[in-house]
Amino acid sequence: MEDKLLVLRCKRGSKEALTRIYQKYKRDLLLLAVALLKDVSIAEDVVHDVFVRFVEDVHNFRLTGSLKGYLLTCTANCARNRNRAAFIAGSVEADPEESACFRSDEPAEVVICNEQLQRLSAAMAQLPYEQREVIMLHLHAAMTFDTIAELQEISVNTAKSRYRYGLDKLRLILNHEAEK
Amino acid sequence: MKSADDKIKVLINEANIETGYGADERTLADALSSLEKMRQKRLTRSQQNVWRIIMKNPITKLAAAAVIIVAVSLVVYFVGNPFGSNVTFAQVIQPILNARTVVLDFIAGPEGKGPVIHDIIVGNRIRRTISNMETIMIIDLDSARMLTLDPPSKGAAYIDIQGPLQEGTKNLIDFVRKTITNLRDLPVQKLGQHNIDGRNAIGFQASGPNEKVTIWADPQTAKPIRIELLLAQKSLYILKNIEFDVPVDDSLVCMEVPAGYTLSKTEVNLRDFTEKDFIEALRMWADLLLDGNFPENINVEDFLKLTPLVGEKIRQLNVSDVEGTRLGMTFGRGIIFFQQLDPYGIDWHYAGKGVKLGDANKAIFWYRPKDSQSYRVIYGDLSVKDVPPENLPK
Repeated sequence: MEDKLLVLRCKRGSKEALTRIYQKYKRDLLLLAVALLKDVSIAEDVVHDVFVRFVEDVHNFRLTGSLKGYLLTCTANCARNRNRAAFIAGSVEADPEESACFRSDEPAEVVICNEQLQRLSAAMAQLPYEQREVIMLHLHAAMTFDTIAELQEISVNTAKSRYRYGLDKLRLILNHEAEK
Repeated sequence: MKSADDKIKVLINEANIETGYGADERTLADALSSLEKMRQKRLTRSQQNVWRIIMKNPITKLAAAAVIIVAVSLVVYFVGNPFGSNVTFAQVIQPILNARTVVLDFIAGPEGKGPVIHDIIVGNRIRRTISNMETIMIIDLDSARMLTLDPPSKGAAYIDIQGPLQEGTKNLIDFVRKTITNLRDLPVQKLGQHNIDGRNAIGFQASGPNEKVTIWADPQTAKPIRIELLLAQKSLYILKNIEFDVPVDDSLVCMEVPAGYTLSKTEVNLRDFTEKDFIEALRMWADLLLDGNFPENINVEDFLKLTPLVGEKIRQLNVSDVEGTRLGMTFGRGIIFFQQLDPYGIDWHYAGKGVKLGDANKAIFWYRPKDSQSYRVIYGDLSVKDVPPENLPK
């Protein structure tokens, strides 16, 4: 109920409501983007773009499920586009072992990732992008495999396979890390 | 696999990221700038009449109508007999039962501030219209059903009004009957003759423990033309332009869907209402109409005035038809919950003036449920606590 009312107020131009939506969900979106992209700066850009586009289209927006789910889906789509663009441009991914959580150009811009996020991000970075996405959407965004399959334009079985293989690999990575 | 699932889940749940205000500022500044541009763009568009917009969609009209119907039906939610129990039911209803039809105007709150409800009562059926909306309600008290008709969209819907709605509506008619019947037998104060609603009328006033009734009657026939009821010293109801045995076409109170109307299949239930509905109604009032601020006060006349707006705001939510109707029902049931406090003599207090939605430190409403020692206190974040009387907010 609260989200529907916030969306309505946004439609009416309420800055307070938009700020509330941002404050309420920015962490979830940023966490998803960091886990998918392993770059805080790009992740921030993705979240920035998601919110700006949300506002630009809010007048036509019709909330049929949860607002959080919708924003997380937008974040996943935007992150995927960024990843594809980087692939096409031939960008080299950062060293998987390197922490994703750095940024200290200005004190006010400092982004702090806790140890768990750094571990998660570093481990995720060693998986193919598609597997990262399925794992994060299923475990973080609580999406069903049906929804994920639709989002990635693949079959449900493929989505489940990506999840299973990704999880197996993550387990190995985390176990190996623990042994060290 | 399960353990791997859990391990990753724990890691994700414990993962956290904190952004500096600079990053937040950048995103928010751009988003807010887009929002402002969008707002300006919308402002330039011509404003359409609110009701015309609602009427364009028969289904969302039902959601809006549901809100209206509840509010309108419940303003007549009387409980008990303000004149005491010294008169038997047979004595009370006998003279008025002879009147086949009763026509009256009903106003909640001070006259001139709120809409006027016009009732045509034929036996146990009522045709009800309201001055600030076009919806027509036909109530059958025997079957506890209400047929709502929306002339602009040609939409129709049946609503189940079993329970408090049915009883409350019945009580209005009983109230009129008992008032008229008991007029001469009561220890009333005479108010003399005055010009009332353009007619010469003689006035009487009677007071009960929880109500004060003022009656203006035709000095020739002794039939009331205006009745004012003050409940709990704060809720005023006015019945005026009362007429008996005026000719009424039976088709006006026919429960069949008229030709040309489309019957909605959406089921509407107004039987059950709870504190939770009232809380959601407060949330909608603050969020939909007052940009996150609670109203200065709450009363029946404001509920009535605002119901068309609430219907329109629900439409703007762009939710599904079912969800829109559900929201309308929730708001309506919230009003019912509030409406039944005074008639049952429940002590309540509203303190939401100046409080913003989300403020957990300020109490906005408290009431003592029947037979309870403690009060239910609702706070600005809409949380609820049980509080003993000595700890109530000052």
